[in-house]
Amino acid sequence: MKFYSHFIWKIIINNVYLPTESRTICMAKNNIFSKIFHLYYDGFRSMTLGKTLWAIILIKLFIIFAVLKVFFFPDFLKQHANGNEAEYVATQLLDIEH
Amino acid sequence: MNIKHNIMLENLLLNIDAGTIDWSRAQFALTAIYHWLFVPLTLGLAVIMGIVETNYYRTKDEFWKTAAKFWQKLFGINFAMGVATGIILEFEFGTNWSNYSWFVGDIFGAPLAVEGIVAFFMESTFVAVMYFGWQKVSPGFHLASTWLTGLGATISAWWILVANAWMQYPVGCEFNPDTMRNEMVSFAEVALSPFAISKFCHTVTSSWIIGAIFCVGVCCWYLLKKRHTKLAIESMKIGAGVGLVAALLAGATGHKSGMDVAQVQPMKLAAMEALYDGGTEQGLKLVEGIEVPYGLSIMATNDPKGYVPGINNLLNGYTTPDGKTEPSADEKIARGKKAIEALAAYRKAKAEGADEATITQHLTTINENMKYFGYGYVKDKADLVPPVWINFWAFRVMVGVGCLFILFFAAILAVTYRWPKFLFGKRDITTLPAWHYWLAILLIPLAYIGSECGWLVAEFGRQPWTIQDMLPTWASVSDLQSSSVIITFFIFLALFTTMLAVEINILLKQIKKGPEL
Repeated sequence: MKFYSHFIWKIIINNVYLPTESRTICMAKNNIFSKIFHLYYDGFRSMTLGKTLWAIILIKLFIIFAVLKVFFFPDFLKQHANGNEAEYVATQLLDIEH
Repeated sequence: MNIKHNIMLENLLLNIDAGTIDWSRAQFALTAIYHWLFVPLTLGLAVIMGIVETNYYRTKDEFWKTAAKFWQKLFGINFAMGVATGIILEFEFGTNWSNYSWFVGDIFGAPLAVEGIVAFFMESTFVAVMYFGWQKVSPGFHLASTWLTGLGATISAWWILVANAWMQYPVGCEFNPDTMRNEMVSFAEVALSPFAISKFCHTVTSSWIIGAIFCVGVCCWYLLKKRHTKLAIESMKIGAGVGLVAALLAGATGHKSGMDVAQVQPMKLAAMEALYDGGTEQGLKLVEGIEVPYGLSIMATNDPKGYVPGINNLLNGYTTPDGKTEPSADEKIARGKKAIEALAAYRKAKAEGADEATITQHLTTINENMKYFGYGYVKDKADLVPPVWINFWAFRVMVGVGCLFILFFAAILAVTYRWPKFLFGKRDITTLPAWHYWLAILLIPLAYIGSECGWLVAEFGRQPWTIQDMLPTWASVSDLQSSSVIITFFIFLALFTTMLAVEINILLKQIKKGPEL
C-alpha cells in the first residue's frame, strides 16, 4: 500500500509539480491544447501579486455586474417600451401618439 | 397640422427632469474621467515595456529581462485596475441615455462589439503569454506577445475612439424613419473617418506621454533613493526618448485635430479660443490679451490668412471670403423643426396607411432637413454655445502641458546622455540636486491633468450635442428621476475613488519593492 501511494505521489509530482524547466521539456511532447492548458494552469498557480489583482478584478466584476447592473442600471427601453422601442423613442422624440 | 404640431414641439421633452440631464452628464463625465486615468498609462507603459523587452531580446542581457518584468508588473497592476471600468459607460447608455442609444444603436454598437471581441481575444491570449510564458515560449514569441498586448490595447482604443468620433462627426449612416435609428451604410466610412484617425493618433500619442512620464518619475524616485540605479538610468533613457517623440507627435496630430475641429465643429474651436467675432488672419490667444499673430488661422486652416468664424458669426450666419455661406442658427432651428414635423407626419401617415405620394413627400422633407434635425429641439440659440471658459482654459492647459513635456523630455535626454558635455561637467543624472527628481515625480499628475483637459475640450466643446447637429443632450436622455442618477453618481464616486486608492497603494508598494533581482 505504501509502495502504491508513493508511486501515485511520484506520478503527481512528475506531472503537476515538476520544476518549470523540466516541465517545458515534457510539454514539448504534448499537443498544443495541453501546452495552452499548462501555460494558464501553471501561470495561475505560480502567481503572487497576480492573486491579489485577480481578487480585485473578480470583486470589481461582481460589483459591476451583480450589483450595479442588476439594481441600478436596468435597460430603460426594455422596461418601458414593451418590445416596441421604435414607437417609444418616437413618442419621446416626437411627442406624438398614434 | 403645423399649428397643432408646433404646440407639440413646444411641449416636446418638457416632462424630462432637468436635473436628470445634468446628473446624467456629470455621471458620464465622472466615469469617463476615472476610466481615462487607467487607459493612457496602459497604452504608454505598453510601449515602454515593449522597448525594454526588445533590448533583452537583442542583447540577451539578464538585466533587461529583470527590467522588462518590472515594467510589466506595473503595467499589469494598472491593467487589472482599469479593466472593465469602461463597461459602466455602456450601462449608462442603456439606462440614462436610452433615446440616444436607440437613435444610434447600430452604428455605435458595431465598433464597441469589435472592441469587445478584439480586446478579449488579443488581451486574454497575449497578456497570459507575457506573464506566464517566460519559461514556456521562445524569447521571440514572448517578445511578440508583449508587443501584441500593447497593440491589442491600442486597437481597443481605436474602436472606442471611432465610436466617439462618430458622435462628433456622424458619417457613413442613414436615418431610418421607420425604426427611428441611424443605420450604418458604410462601415469603412465610420471606421476610417478622418476625424476618428486624427483623434486616435492624438489620443494614443498623448497616452505615450503619460507612460513616459510615469517611467521617468519612477526612475527619478529610485535615483533619489539611490536604489536600482542602473535600471533607473537605462529605463529613463527609454522613457524620455518615448516621451519626447510622443510629445512632438502629439503636437503634430493635435494640429491635424484642430483643423478637423475647424471644419466639423467650428463652434468648439470658437469656444476654445473665446472667439466671438471671427474673420481672416486670426491670432492665437496665449492668454487673454496676448496672442500669436495668425496663429489661429494657421491652426484651423494651415493658412495665415484663413477665415475662422467666431461664436457670433456661427449664431448669425456668415459668408467666407471664398463665398461659402453658412446658415444662421435660426435658419438651422427652423429646418430642424421642419425635419421633426416631417418625421412625425411620415410616421402618422404610415400608421394610417396614407397614399404613397404623401409618404414620399414627407420622406423627401426629412432627408432635405435631416442634417439639422437636432436643431429642432433648440429653444434658445444661446444653448448652442458650449461653456466658453472651460474650453478656453482646458485647451490652454492641455497645450501648455504638452509644450512643457517637450522641453522636459529633451532636458532629461540631455542629462542622461550628458550632452552637450560642457554643460554638465562632472555631473550626471545620479548626482543632481534632489529637487530635480522631485520635479519629475510631481510632473506625473500634471500629465494626467493635461490629458484629462484634452477630453474636457473634446466633450465640453461639442455641447449641447450628443451627436453633432443631430441630437442634443436633453433629447438623448431617458425619462428618469434625477434621484436615481444622483445615487449611482455617488456610488461611482466611492467605488472609483476606492479603486484608485487601491491601485496607487499597490503600485507604490511594488515600486518600493523594486525589480526582483
